[in-house]
Amino acid sequence: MRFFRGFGRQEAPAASSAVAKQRLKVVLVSDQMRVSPGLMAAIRDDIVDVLSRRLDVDRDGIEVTITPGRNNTDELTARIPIRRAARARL
Amino acid sequence: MAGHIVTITSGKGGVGKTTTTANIGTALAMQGRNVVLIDADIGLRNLDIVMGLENRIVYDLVDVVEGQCRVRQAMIRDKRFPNLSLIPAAQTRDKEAVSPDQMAELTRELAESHDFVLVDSPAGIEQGFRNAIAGATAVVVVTTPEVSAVRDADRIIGLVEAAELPPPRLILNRFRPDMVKRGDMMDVPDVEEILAIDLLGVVPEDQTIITSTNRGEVAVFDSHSPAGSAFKDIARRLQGETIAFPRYEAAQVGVMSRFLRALGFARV
Repeated sequence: MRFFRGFGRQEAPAASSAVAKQRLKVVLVSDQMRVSPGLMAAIRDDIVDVLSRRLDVDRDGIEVTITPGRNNTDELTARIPIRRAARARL
Repeated sequence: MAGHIVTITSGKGGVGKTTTTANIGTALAMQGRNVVLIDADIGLRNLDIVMGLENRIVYDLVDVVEGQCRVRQAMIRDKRFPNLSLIPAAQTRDKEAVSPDQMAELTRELAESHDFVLVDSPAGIEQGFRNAIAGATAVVVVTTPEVSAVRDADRIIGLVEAAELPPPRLILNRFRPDMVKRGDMMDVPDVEEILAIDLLGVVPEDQTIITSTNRGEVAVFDSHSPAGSAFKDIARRLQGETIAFPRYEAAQVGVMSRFLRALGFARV
């Protein structure tokens, strides 16, 4: 079966164990920091509001996560799709 | 010198706390230690049936703390080992029937005359859990390599540390090397990295657990049981011995076994 999986797909799906580990890392950080989903939503909205002044941001495609970073810190990562570079407004 | 009071807990239900308590307790007794097990899961008692002692209950934990009987009267002696006994949970009461102070007092009293007092904690983070850790000198967290169990284990570890107890140690239960090999299950280092506590043992998934529990026996009696062997190692580590962690590898399945399995011979 694995042989056939190669056709028609550019990349094999990640092993489920790797997905589990990654998801756990993310969820445990928010569990431990007690960052509520509401607070995360507020942060996301603020980021969008600022960027929207200059860029055409795809609001629905945004992902904001907090994950363990280097040196015992946590890292906020935002993935923000932009529809097209909007003209800089003066 | 007083004995160890070890609480076995997990957060999530169904990961094997009771089986772990029964097997470690029996292994410690087989290794010559004086052991008493306490089922702290009031209202949902099960350690009695897993140990095969369910028909011998007269008094229970709530009777003891309420002074209805002496501690000795509630201790059911194991069928095989006179140095192993069980104080069962009450079945018709709730967790509030016992307080953390009462549990701490009882476990300390028992530790005077036993090498090990093992407390089987209920699932959850409410009073039943707080009762279970009240007197603990060591805490063991049981988890399985599943996201829900690991997440709850992390929560429990935080609560144990907040209670200013020593850092808990981890038992990874129902481990399946075959699934790890295929990338379908988190490996031991993955779970260790996420939970960041010391590993006490890895217990492989083993059908003996179900068949022996069916009979009211424990897997450590079965010298061929991989889980039983892992529990015996864990019992030795609890006594301070250094026992190497066996590396569980996926079983090599030969052509003939595959053929027989395909024909329905499941145990080949």
